This record gives sequence, structure tokens and C-alpha cells, in this order.
Amino acid sequence: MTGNPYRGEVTLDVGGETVTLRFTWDAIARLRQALGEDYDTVITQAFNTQDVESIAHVVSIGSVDDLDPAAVMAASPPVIPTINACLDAIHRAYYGPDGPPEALDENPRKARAATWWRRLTARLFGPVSADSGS
Amino acid sequence: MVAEAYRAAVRAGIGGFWELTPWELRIELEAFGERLRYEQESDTVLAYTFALLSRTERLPKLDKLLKGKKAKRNLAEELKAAFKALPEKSEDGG
Repeated sequence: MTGNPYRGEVTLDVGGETVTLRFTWDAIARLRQALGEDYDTVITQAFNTQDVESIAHVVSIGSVDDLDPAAVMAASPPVIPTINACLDAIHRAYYGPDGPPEALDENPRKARAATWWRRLTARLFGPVSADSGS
Repeated sequence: MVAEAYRAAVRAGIGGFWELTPWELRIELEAFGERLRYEQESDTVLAYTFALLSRTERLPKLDKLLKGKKAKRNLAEELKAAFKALPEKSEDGG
């Protein structure tokens, strides 16, 4: 797992080529658009069931070079390392180089992200209304 | 959450939002918050100083106000002085 951890980068071997994964807000918005509001749940399920097509989709959206999902499928990278790379990239994107804190709530990503986000925005700009259309 | 984050970035004047990760945006917002607090404190000190000066009969000299802080130690000068104070080395090495 190389790449600049402060930028949220994780590298992955796809068909002999090194692909850099990085989940920016753009990638997150596209994941949400492609997988729906509960995209994090969908991704977790896809990883748990090793749903290759969904994993290829996540790799495609997270890759900085905008890989084609079909190309990822064709390259057929090993599933477990690919899932681990995606998870590491998502964790680095949300929590920085050190990854998530060890003690997490039941729904770790959602709960932690929402907490720090609300705390920060509330401190800077006052509470944000719940119907702001996330 | 994307819309909230985008709104916060716009309010803080942070560019390149879509190319940032959530963690990077968090760092930028924290830095923005620190800068905002510093500016607010500076404004408060300025207002306080203004109010204070407007109540005094004689204005202190500007130099005195500007030199309010204790001068920093000049370590380079101190070291030079310390070396000068050392006894000179004799030619036979003693």
C-alpha cells in the first residue's frame, strides 16, 4: 500500500499496471450517484459478498485515471487485495494517513464522519440544518 | 454530506473542493477556523487598545507601544561575545 497517505492515495496492481486510488469529494459524489444514498452500505455489502462487478465499479470511480469498469473486470485483479486497497483508500480519504481511530461505533464510517463533520461545521458556521440535501 | 461539505468549503473560500478528500477539507477548515479566531482576537485587541488610548490624557509614544514586547535574545551575538572572552590559544598548543 504505497502512494501519498496524506493525499489519501493507495496504489493497486490492475493487470500489471499500477493504479492509484483516491476518494476525493468528486469520487464520493459519483459513488453516491452510482450506488444511491446508502452507497457506503452498498459498498460494504459488495465487499462482504465479494461482488466483483461492484468492486470493479468502486475501483473505476476511485482511480485517479478514471479507469473503465470493464477494463478492471477484464484485468481481473485479485479480489481480497483489491478490496483491502479500496478500504484503505476510503479510510485514508476520511481519516487521513493514520486511518480510522481504533474504537469505532457500530456503523463506523458513517457515525465517525458525521460526528467530526457536524462538530467542525457547527463550530465554524453554526449548526447546519438537517434538510440541507446532503 | 457532500452538499454540506461543499457549502462549508464555499463559505471558507476553499478552492478545488472536488479534488480534495474529506480529510484534506477537514484540515483546511480547521486552519480556516484558526485564522478566523486569530483575526477575531486581533480585532478585539485593536478595539480594546483604541478604547484604552481614547481614555488616556497623554498618548504614549508610538515607539513605546510598538516596543511593548521584550526584545528577543540575540544568541549569535552572545556566542560571539563568549568566544571573544575565551583565553587565546597559545602557539605551543597549551
